[in-house]
Amino acid sequence: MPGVTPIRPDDVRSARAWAAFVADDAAATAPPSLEARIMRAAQTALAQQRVEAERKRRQWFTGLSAIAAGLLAAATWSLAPSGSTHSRVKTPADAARAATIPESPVTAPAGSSAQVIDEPAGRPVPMMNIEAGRVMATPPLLASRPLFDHADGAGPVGAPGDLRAKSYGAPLVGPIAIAVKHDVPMAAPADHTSPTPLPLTATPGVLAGTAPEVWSSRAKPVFDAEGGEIAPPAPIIRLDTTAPATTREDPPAPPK
Amino acid sequence: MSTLFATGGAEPGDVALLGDATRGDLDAFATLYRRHQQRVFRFARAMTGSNDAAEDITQEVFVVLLTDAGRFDPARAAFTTYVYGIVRNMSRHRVRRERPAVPVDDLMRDGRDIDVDEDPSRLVEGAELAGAVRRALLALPSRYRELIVLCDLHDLSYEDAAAVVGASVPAVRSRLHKGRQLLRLRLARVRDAHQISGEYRQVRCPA
Repeated sequence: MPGVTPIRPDDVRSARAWAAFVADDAAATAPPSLEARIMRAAQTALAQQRVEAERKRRQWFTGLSAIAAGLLAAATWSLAPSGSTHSRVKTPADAARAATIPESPVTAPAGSSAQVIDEPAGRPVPMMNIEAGRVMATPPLLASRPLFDHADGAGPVGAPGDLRAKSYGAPLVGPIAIAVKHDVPMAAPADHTSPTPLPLTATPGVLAGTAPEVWSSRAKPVFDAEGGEIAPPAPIIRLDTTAPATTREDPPAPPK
Repeated sequence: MSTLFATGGAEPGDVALLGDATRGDLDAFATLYRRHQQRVFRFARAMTGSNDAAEDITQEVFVVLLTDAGRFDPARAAFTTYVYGIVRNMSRHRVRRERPAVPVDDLMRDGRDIDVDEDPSRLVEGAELAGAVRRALLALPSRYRELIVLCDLHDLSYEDAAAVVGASVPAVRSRLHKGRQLLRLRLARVRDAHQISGEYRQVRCPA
């Protein structure tokens, strides 16, 4: 029949079920005790939020004051008249004095290649690494070395790693070879002060005297420079000659 | 026009109350709670199927409203949409966390007073029918369930529902259509399970 839509009782029942569900949902409300519970939770949350905000504010101020104190200390240290020689700004008076007083290089003692330059007495100068090692290894020197700069109070003496071109009260000592016990005695160092240079052509005598040609302690050495061993020359392959190609052996035929 | 945005007269009141509550005015917070507690509780109850879970979610929602009030931007959405969004997220989280333990039967005995003048058989039948629908609704995936609850129970428009779930209006329409189909199928299964039978009859209605 046109215009008529069959509705099953299931649909009616579904509609009734839906209506019952909607009525049940609309009647649902939170229990009255929930309001008091939520108010208590809100008070607690607000209190915790205030405490947390106060803690964050204190932390922020602490960090800010620490940064400000650090900047102030750095500025004070760098602006002090007896500041470090590295950070001291050269004034025109310093420049004029440097121009009028020429540097007087003093020849270093024998065995040293460094030049000793006089410096006005005052704060100690940084040490080179080798000097620092020597000072650290010698207790009297270590005791006489001030750890802190008296000029600015708390500033430490310049780091030993700072390079400079002058010695600290003593001639520089170049590195020397330390003789250690070995099966093979250490060869004498080459005389660099020899007026006559050695010829470029290596002679067997010179080679024998310069360094022990022992490369390995095995029974059969890996390489012997004095043995005169020469690697066999590589075979010369001539491309113009047609050498018969080596025939590859065919694998044996499988038994039929 | 969005229904939630159409109620613009009440929204500034909500925002002002929220501002006062965040500054420590608990009376403003109580007013805000009384104004929105029912829709929050109903939505959470429909999404989780548990009164206890709905109470917990209601508490968490209002505490979050108070402590994270700075997240609410009136330029982006209405206050009610914002509240619905919080309830939705918390309900989904709760259901995901306690998926196997979603009680349904406690909804039948939620402590409400029974009208003694009403026919007990009709009360029982109504409770059974509502329970069947609720079971079928809880069996739906949450993306369909939330739209059925928002649009068919809370009468939100498509635009407001789209703002709550963070989807486009066509997507909301599509999901709602699919959800209703699924709900009808689930209800039919429930009917089959209860051995409900009837005769076909024809009712005149416009085609």
